[in-house]
Amino acid sequence: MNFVLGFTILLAFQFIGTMLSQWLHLPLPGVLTGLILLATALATGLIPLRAVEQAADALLGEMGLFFVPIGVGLVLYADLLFKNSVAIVLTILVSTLVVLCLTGKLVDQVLPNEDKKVTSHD
Amino acid sequence: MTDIIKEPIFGLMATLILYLFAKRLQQATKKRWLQPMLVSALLLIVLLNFAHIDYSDYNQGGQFITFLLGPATIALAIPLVRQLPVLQKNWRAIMTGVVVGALVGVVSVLIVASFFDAAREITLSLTPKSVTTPIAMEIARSLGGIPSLTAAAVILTGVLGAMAGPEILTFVGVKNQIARGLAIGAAAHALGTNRCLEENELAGAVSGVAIVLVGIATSLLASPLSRLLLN
Repeated sequence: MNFVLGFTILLAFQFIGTMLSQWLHLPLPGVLTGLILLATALATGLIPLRAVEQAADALLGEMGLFFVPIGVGLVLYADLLFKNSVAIVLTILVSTLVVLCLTGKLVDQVLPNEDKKVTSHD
Repeated sequence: MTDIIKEPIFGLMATLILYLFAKRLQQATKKRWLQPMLVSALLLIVLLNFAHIDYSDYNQGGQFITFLLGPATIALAIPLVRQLPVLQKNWRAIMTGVVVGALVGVVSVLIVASFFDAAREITLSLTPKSVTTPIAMEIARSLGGIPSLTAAAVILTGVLGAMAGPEILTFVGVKNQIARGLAIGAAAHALGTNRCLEENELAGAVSGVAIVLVGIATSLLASPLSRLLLN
């Protein structure tokens, strides 16, 4: 199926999600509401996966490009960033380490024993 | 000469050329930390500084690229739906990993950043740093953070998790592939998932499911938790 159809569906769900988040004062940003609605529509077969696949894969494949102009916007905050650079780097380091270890350890605890045996090879 | 700089064509063309260059650079060097998004954004910053071009002029073109972030975020529904069987089979472990990962991600940033005396908007920008970039920026925006900083922090987190995550998990004794995948997906989003996929298919699949779910959980948790922990 073609790109334009898929792109239109994606935009439509972004639009609906944004409207719903605003109208219903949902605690989710509009794009997330749209994402959940689209996932539901696809999972239930309301919209066939092949209708959106081509556009979705094309966009997801170049996702990095779409944040570049926002990343360039860092120039507007140069002073603030320099003043907080140590805090920023240390927060990222410590928090990433904590998330990694706690999530790994806790999930390990809740897994049933038979899963642990079959999957533990490196 | 100076007039064409203010037209959308300049920002669009400069962004695309430098992004393609940065992508080639990473493919040629195979260095995980040379993330095309960070490299091309830095090159553009240097260019704007040297040529004395205002960000607002650059963004005449840049905004067209930023616009695509919306539909690209919605498109994250597709990999999630493709992985539905993995989610159904491992739902208990995945839900545990998602809730713990999102909760610890938000709380750890709020505590650590306050400890290092980070400015309030810096802390709020870092809060969603473990979440995939487009969702993280939406969360930062709604919290009152700086989406630009969030994007850079998310990429740095992803590079860190992808480069050292598996080694750290092995060091602390997490051997199970489902637990490893979830931990890396929750801590380091898609960049971590790519590393998982290189090492183990199951870990990679579980990690991929975690990305979007951690994003949703974080956006629900971030606002109440930041109000609670940040005076």
